[in-house]
Amino acid sequence: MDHYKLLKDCIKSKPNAQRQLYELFADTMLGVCYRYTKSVKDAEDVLQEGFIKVFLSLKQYRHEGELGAWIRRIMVTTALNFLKRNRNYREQMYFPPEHLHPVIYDDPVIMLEAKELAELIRQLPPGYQTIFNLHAIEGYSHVEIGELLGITDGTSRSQYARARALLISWLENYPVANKTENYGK
Amino acid sequence: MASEFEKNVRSTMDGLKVHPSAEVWQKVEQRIRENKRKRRILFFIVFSLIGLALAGYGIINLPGRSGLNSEVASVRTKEAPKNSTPQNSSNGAKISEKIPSYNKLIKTQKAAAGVTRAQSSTANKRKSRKVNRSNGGERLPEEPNNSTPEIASHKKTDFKVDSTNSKNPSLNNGPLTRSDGQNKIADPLDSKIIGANDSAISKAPEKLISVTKPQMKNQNKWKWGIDISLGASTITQDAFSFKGASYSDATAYSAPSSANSGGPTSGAFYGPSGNNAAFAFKAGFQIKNEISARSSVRAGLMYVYLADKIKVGQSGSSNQSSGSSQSAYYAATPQNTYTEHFHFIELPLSYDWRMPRNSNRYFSLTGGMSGSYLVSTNALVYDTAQHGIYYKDNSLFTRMHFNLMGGTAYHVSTTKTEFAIGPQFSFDLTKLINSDVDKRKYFLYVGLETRIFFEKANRK
Repeated sequence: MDHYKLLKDCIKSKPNAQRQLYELFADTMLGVCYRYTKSVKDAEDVLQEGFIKVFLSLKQYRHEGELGAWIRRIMVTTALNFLKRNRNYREQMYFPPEHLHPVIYDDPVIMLEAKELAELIRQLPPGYQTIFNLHAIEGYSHVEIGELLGITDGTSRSQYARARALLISWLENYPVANKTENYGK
Repeated sequence: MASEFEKNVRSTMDGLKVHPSAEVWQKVEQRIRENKRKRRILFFIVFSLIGLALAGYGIINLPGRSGLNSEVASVRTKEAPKNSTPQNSSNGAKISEKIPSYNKLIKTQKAAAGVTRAQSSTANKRKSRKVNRSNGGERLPEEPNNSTPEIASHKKTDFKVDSTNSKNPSLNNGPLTRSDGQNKIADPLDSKIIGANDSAISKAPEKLISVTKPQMKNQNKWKWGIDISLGASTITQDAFSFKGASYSDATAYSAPSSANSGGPTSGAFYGPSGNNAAFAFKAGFQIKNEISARSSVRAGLMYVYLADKIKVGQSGSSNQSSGSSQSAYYAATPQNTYTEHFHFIELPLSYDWRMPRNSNRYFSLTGGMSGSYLVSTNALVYDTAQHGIYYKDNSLFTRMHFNLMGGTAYHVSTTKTEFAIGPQFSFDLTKLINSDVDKRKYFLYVGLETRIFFEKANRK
């Protein structure tokens, strides 16, 4: 079934179509939510809220981009709201204005599995984790991140540089058999 | 600009998939169903309010009615200032001759009021007197300013019943015939006003004309009543059909199967059962307004009980009453009759066309539509799972329904009450069950409707 027909049926609130849409994107979207949170339970809470938003706002989807990308944006927004709302994350989501951190221009080739890399990203402090996810993976600019999080783009750059440096240092020390062959190019 | 590192991270993370637990979908589904239900309730309320408001507005502001009142009002407005001159008071007959529209208006008024012959025999006499009296106090809009000799010659002497009125027996009962210069008043009611002094009439034209006003208001009166309808309902496969759901492919399921993995029917598949009509009824309150001599509109609030009968087998669940909407199921073996109950709240809006128009016993044809909300049901839905089962899942039933109604009725009307009885039917325009397997889709109701309407007491 193509997405157009599936969406049409979902808008008509057909249970089978809704279930089908969920199953089509649930795994990928939980992967997105997983990167922003510290536990699977929190990630599932975000996924649940995100899919409810998706189903309630399907009529607003204009078929201008990929459906997956549209759902992904909803998930990211939902995740950010969750982080701001949840006490465990909110207290650590403070972004102090900092001087620019020198950017390390290392571009190590990543030989980790997606899950392993995700685990490393999740070990970053929540502020770093969020900005790293938004910039490195979702592709948001620092100006956009600043608007999303209510911080300056300079702060976003600084936080990102620190997160990036920390992650690279972890990657370099990650116990992978052949990492020395690939890192540090 | 993304470096290689960012590109690597992105490409790696694109492959990250985590399988969520089953609870997530259950919660999502529950929330979207709740939300849908809330929206339906809200929509139902809004629709009902808009419908009632439109109905009320339409009833009050129909062109025929507003024209009638405005015509009277315009006559009053135009005549009132000029009627202070006494010479006009004697020109009632002439004036009425010159106001064909006014006579027409009176006829319309009579017809619209639906005055019966029995009632009209005495009432019309008074009407005609009142109308002629009121005409006597009025002036034609096109009449020159009281200065023509012709009009002056009739001053205080001639009263003639106009030809228009003479053609109308109901309006010709008035005693206003005076040609000898003296007042010949047959009716003591009139003598008080006309016999005393014509100028008295002309001095109080507003008061005289306003006599007609309550007559107009009587046409606007609302009636409220009770509506009870007893009949039968069933669920049809197609809209506008009297035929129940048929399962031509049922044999595909009923063939013996080699499956021996247990289940309620020990290896045989059973298709959905046919459905039969069951007792149903409607009851509630309605308001009615006669918008013209022939037509009226009704709106109301009804409780509707509809039902349908199917054949099911033994219950496959021991916890049917546990409250879970999906816990109870029955084998599709056609062993026992299961009556499905549906409880609706309905807001009907209908139009009645009567024939003949001037009688207290008449027939009417009714057409209309209604919005209804499914409040609760114990209905089952068929599924091919487990060799064919019927199970409960209220989320598969459409809550908000729109119906087309029709019928005919025989009316007996008295001065204070109106009784009507006749057959009624309604077709559901909304699919009842959201299931690809269960073909029962549209409700059909046929019944005998009884209505009793009461007129609001006249405070005059």
